[in-house]
Amino acid sequence: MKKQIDNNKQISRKEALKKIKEHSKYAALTALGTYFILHPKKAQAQSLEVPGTGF
Amino acid sequence: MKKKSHFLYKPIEDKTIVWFENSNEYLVLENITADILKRLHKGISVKEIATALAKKLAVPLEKTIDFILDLEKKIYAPKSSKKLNVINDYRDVKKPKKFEFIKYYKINKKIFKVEFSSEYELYLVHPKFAHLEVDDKSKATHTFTIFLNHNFIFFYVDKNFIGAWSKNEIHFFQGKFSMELIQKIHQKKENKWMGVFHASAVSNGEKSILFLGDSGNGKSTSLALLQAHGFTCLADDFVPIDAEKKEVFSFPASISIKKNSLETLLPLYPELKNSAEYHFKRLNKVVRYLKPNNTNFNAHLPCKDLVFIKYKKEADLQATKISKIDAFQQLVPDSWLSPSKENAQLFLDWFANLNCYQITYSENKKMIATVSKIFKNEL
Repeated sequence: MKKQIDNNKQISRKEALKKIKEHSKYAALTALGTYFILHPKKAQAQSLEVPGTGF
Repeated sequence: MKKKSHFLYKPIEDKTIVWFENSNEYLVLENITADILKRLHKGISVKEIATALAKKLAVPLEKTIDFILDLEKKIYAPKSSKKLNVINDYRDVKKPKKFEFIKYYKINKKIFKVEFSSEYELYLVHPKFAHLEVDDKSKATHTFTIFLNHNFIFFYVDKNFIGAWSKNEIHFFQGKFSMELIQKIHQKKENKWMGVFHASAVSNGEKSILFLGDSGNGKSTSLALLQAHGFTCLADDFVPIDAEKKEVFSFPASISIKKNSLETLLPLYPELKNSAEYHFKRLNKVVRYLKPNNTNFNAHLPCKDLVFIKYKKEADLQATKISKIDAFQQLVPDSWLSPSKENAQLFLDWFANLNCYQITYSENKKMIATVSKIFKNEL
């Protein structure tokens, strides 16, 4: 059965604000779960400068 | 259950950096997230942490429980070690009986004898150290041996096997060569170094500044310009910082100058006109080597400033302080950082006290004036 979506459903300003607030709460949780992982080099390296001729 | 602490925490700006001992990884986390990890560490129950978090963020408890369980799973998940432990028995590897090239380099009062089995190995090392070559063959303090065997570069120091690298890992062989060299020059073993940075280090005789940036941004050119204007080159490309003093130590390799910087540098360094040119076809790079003006390879100086430098044609000079978290994210993946817990703590403490800047320039004079200001703490 096709799902009926009532696009004309009106909500009050108060309700709208409440919904936004709830969403932003979860956004805070998402932000807490966002992080960077940084890996240093496994060994000392020099800039790539390898002779390209002859090999 | 209380988990054994193999982590370090360091708040920097509005984030917390967490270091993991088992993987030598650095995570940049929100302070609250780092706090959750800390509590998990202490053995506080997920429910207790989740209840406090739910209250703080005014979200339902089940959401914070899910969040913490998910976080714990991601962060404590055993790191899949992809490293293949190929066991090589290098005892079978025979050193060549004859070396086509033998060079002697004098650094401070030490003589380093380096044996190269062929021209290929010679060119991996010699151009950067040619200015240190001496004829004195009397007493070599150390002997470095480099030869090719079954397409692998083998490296020995005083008859001790150091490593073997395939040809696509040559930059790690070169890094190891430099690492062995600084250990011998400064008499500090590898665990006595906090890290090695891909940077250029310049000094005013009292302290040093590190220049960072992607290859081609102008680190070495800026260093060459500065050393022509009263500053000293401490190290180029390979910048070691020790654990004891947390200072930048001098590294005697020469500065590699790319072809497109020659026009700028020739008036200052006429010797570059006739110096040997090396073609790195695979990298589409043509470089010449410029001798560093440093004469004291024992030198070591503190460093409080990092500068991300960028030469940009026709750009007006821009010099700004940048976020340390941004600087950290650029610095770490390009550096070798000691995997020991003590040294990782030293690195985090050292980094926390740095000033980080970004300089974009096209006019050399303005760049030099700005760097002088940083040295005088006037920026």
